[in-house]
Amino acid sequence: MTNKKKNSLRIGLLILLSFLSGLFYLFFNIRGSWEFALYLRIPKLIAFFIVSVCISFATIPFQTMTENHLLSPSIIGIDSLYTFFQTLTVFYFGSQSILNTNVAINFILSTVLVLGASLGLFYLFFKKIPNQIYLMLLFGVTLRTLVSSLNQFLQVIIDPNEYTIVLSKTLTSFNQINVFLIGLTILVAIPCVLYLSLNSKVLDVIHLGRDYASNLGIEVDQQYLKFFMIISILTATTTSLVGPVSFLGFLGANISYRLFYTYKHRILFVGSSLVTFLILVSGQTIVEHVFLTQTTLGVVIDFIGGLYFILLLMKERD
Amino acid sequence: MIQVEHVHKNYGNTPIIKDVSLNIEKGKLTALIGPNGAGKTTFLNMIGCLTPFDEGKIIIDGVDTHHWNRNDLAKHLAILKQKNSLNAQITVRELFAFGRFPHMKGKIGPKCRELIKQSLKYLGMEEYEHTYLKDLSGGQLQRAFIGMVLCQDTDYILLDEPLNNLDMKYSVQIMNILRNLVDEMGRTVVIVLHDINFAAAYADQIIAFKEGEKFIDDLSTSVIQKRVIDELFDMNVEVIEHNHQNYCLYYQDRKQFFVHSVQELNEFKKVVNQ
Repeated sequence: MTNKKKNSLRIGLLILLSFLSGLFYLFFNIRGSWEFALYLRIPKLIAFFIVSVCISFATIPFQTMTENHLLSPSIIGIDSLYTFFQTLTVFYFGSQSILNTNVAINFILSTVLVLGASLGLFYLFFKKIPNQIYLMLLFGVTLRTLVSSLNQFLQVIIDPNEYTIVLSKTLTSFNQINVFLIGLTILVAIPCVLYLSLNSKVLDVIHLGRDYASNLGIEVDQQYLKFFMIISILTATTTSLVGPVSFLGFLGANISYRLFYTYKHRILFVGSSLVTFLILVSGQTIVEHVFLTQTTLGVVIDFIGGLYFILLLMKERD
Repeated sequence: MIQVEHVHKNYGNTPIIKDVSLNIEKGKLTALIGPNGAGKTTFLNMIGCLTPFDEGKIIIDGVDTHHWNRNDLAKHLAILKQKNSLNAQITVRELFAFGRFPHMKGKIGPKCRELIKQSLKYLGMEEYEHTYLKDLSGGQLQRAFIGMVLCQDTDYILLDEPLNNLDMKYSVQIMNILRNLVDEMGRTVVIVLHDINFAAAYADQIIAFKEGEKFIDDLSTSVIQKRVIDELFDMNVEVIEHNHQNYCLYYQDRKQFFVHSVQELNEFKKVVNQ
């Protein structure tokens, strides 16, 4: 059987598994009112789906352009900038300020801020100093360290009560998903995801590297700028919705590279979205029904991911 | 025709291409030769619009390179780079198909399939059609990339040291293919070569670079002469003629070392013979 056919089967299987696991999550162990349980569970499931799609569409092109499967968009500090914004607004304006209580304003402001910073970074490295991707990443890493340190500083001197507000906004959590935010995220994510899907073939060519992409007719600097901007938007909105999720994207992308063994972004996007969704749903099911919410989804994901990579390393040794 | 007018390029404060002007004629095989670091690869990349330059103009088929639409240019000019490595999971066939991107934007029509099939045959890569690039040897990988460039189906084909990983037989076969492209299909080939005997045997025109400047730009018979090669490479070579073709024997000079006196040579000998 050709790889193409195998991949179609795998995608089909993943869709089936996702559907089944989604149903299982929704209906398993509903004690009491099923309307209430669904009221809690459906938004989460939708959030899982959106986050899976957004993070896959952000991570994979990022890894293609940087020619590195170990990086993810958070390396340039997008999520730490978001965290810093949350800490800063609580610090200066208080947790009762409209900036923090009004979910929509908070979302829009933090997304705009992150976009502004990204635009600055990419403008610098695609117009002023082109063809220096690793320099840009290094610069981003440095910025991230700066922002994280400032963040830590603020968090240490902030009022402890206010701090819990900050924590609740900045830890990775699917527990209190705001339905309105989901709507906003979908609104922002759809054009981004669409653009990346339509340009899948261009991304495929970028696998050959910058020079061959140029040779084959792609205006590399312009195109990279557009892609990076979209990746920033997707990462910013995902972070606003559920907090930092960089490891998840990295995990989903790498599993799908090994599972599908293709360069085609069309397949990788779909595959990674489904794999990530399965990880999230099964992780959340474990958190709710095995650990009875005594642990968080982040811990379970890290555990699954860590296990996966250890197994991978052991296999490579033989 | 490719017209290069007073092109100059600096890396920081160091000039690496100094005021070069020349023309590359259509329908010919032109070889670029010269010592390491002379600027041949940089020059080729500038013509291929991969590297910008600081002053001057390059005009391809009447249009300044700054005004060429990147996608249109890709249908007229293709470049093969020196270093070809790949992480992604791409088969030989898929790599060839990438060559069709400027024309087809990712779709593959019947003409494309035919071209890919013929190119595979032409390069002797048929049995490797579905092999992943990472499983190929150096020489096979080189041929795979040449295949992609062929499938791009362009008037101008620029190649940067394409014979680097190839054995004698493959080298000769590739050069024969390139010669065929010029003679039978009217293409223009510009090729950077290290082995000047391949340039001698296959090129119509040879352009030599030395220290960032154009050293000589002439018919290959005029370039492969002792006084020219001696000065270009700072060596003591022998040029012989065989079957109306000049060849350069550069291995004969037994006095070529990095150090310049017998005394300095002996110093090394003393240290080694402990």
